[in-house]
Amino acid sequence: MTSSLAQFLASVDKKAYKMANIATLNSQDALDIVQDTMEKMVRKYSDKQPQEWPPIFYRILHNCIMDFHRKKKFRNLFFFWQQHSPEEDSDNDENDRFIGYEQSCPEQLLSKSENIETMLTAIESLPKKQQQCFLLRCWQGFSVAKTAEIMECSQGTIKTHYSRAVAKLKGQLESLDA
Amino acid sequence: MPNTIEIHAKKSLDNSLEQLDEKIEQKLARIRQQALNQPTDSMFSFDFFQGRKLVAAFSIVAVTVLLSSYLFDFNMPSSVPSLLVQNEMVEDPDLLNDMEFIYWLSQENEQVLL
Repeated sequence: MTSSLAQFLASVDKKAYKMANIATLNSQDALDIVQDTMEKMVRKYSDKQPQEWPPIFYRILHNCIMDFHRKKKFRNLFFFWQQHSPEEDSDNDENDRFIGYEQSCPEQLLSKSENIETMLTAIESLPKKQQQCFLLRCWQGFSVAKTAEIMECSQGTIKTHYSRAVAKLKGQLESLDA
Repeated sequence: MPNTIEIHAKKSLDNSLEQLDEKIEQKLARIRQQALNQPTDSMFSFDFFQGRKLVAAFSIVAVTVLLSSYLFDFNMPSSVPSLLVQNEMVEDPDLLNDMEFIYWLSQENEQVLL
């Protein structure tokens, strides 16, 4: 059971990190979220059937991401004098965004990276719930029902979030092309 | 049927994974290993319930021993005859007759003297 769980975690860790990184715009916060998610997964759900693991794992991840945003909002509300300036934040975000990429062959990756960066920036700018919904549906390939289960909301809400996310992405990319 | 945005997004996200820094991959591997090495809740619950079972069994034995010794003290065989003797003395008809006779005799004597 432990070896199959290890295989499962190895198969989802990069995607989980990327989802957390898109949601938090910070590499260290993303790693902390992945660590929390994996620890909860092993501690509480390792005895579940392997086919049940993916929705459980992404549900924990989603909850950890939402907790992160709640804590951040609370911190900003009550400790407003400790907030960083927008310039400082944007600098950190830029640095964090580039931490995750290899520096070895920039010539080959230049055009590819530009495309990836454009799309990732567009996804990052989505509202958090639309962003999570889009990543779970489009990237992880979960059905509407499973996504609703993971995000703990109705299927109608998921359909709304998803269609709005797609429309916003389309609008953003079209405005960039124009 | 996915539209072009969805296909483009999926491709970009997949490509971004291929370009992840080696340091991040190493950190993820370490996080994964740490998570797998920690104890699970089922291990805790097993120990917890084993402990509870032992305490429950010990409590039952202790209560049984205490109750049996308490009941044994009240049912001592030596105390039973003494109680029976007391009851026999009170309810013995010969003795009651004798006591009535003595009382009558003393009354008679008092009348003769007067």
